[in-house]
Amino acid sequence: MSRSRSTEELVARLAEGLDPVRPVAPVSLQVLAVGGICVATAAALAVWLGLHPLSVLERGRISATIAAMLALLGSSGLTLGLACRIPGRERLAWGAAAVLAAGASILGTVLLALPDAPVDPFAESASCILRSILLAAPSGLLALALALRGAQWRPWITGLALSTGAASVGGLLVHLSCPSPDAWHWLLAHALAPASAGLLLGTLAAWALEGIGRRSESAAARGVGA
Amino acid sequence: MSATRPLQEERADWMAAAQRGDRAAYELLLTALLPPLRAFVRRRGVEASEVEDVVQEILLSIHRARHTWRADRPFDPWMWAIARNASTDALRRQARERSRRVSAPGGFNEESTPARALAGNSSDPEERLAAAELTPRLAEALARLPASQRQAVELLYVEQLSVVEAAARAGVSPAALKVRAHRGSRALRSALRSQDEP
Repeated sequence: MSRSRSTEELVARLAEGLDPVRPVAPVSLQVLAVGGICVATAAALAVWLGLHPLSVLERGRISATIAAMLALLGSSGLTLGLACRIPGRERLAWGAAAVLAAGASILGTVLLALPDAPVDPFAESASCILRSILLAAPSGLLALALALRGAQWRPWITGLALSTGAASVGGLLVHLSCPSPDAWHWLLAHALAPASAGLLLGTLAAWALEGIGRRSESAAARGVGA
Repeated sequence: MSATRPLQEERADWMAAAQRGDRAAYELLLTALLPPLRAFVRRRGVEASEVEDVVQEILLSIHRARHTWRADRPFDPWMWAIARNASTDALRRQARERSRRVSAPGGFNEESTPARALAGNSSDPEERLAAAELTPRLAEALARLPASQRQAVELLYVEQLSVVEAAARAGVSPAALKVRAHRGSRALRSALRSQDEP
C-alpha cells in the first residue's frame, strides 16, 4: 500500500471515529478566571492578615517597583502558560513572554542596585516564602486545570510559565501583607525564593504534562488503529 | 501559506461542523488540507520519503487538538501553528536519525540491505544474493529481539507501514514506535556483526 493512499485511509478513519467536542474557553476568559481566583485569594488574605497596599507605596520606590514587577510577572506568566496551549495564539504568548522577560530583568536590576546584602539575608523569611507558595496554589492549580484542557503540547513552557506566574502572584500577596521594612527581605522572600520554588514545582508540573501528552498521543494512535 | 478568504471560511465552517460531530464535514476538511499540508511539509525540507509520515502526524495532531479551535477565531493560523509544530518535531527527529546513520556506517535503516532482506524488495541482483544469505540470520536475530522492538521493526520494515499506521497497530505514539524501531534495528545490527566476527 502506498503511503499517500494510507494517508487518505487515515483521513477516512479519523472521520469515522469522530466524536463531538466542546471547544475550550477563550484565553481572555481563562485569564479572567485565574485573575478572579487571585482576587478571591487576596480577599481571603485581607480578612486573615490584612492587606496594606498603601504602605507598600509609602515604603519607597524599591517596594513599589517590586510590587509592580510581581504583578507584571504574575499576569504575564499565567497568560503565557495558558496562551501557549492554544494553537494560533502564538502572538499573545510571545507578547506575554516579552513582558515576563522585561519584568525579570527589572527585578534583576533592582537586585543589583541594592546595597550590600545582610549577613543572613534569609533570616525570618521562611514564613513569607511558605505563605507565598500557599497563596500561589489556588491560581496555579486553576491555571493548570485550564491548561490541561488545551492542546497537549509545549509542556515545559506551560509548566514553567504557569508556576512562575502563580508564584509571583503569591509573592505579591505576601508583599502586600508583610510589615518588614527590609528591601533584601522583600526581594528574596517575596520574589526570588518563591519564584525558585515555583520553578521547581513547575518542573514537576511540566514532567507530568509531558507524560499526559504522551499518553494522549498513544491513545489517539490506538483510536485510529481500532 | 494563507488561503483565500472564501476557502478559509469554508474550512472554518467544516471545522465548526466537525466539532459538532459531523463526520462528512470533517472528512471534507481533512481531505482539502492534504495538498497544502504536503506542499508545506516539502517546503520545510522534510525528506521525500518522510513527507507522508509527517503529513499523517500533522493530521493526528489536528485531530487531537480539534477542541482548541474556536469558531470566533480564524481557522488557518490555528491549523498552521499545529502543522509547524508537528513538522518541527519531525525535522528534529530526522536530524537525530541522520546523525545516527553517520555515526554508525552501514546502519540498519529503510534503505539498508538487511531491511531490504526483511522486506524482500531489493532490485539489485547482488543485494538480492546478499539478502538471501542474510535472511535466515536476520530472522534468527529478529526472533531474539524483545517483543515490542520486533513488532516495531516488522511493522515498519517488513510490512512497510507508515509510522502513524504502525503506531496505531502497536497502540503507541508515533514517536515511541520510532524509538522502538531504532532500538530494534540497532540490536539487529550488533547481532549480525557479532555473527560475522570469527
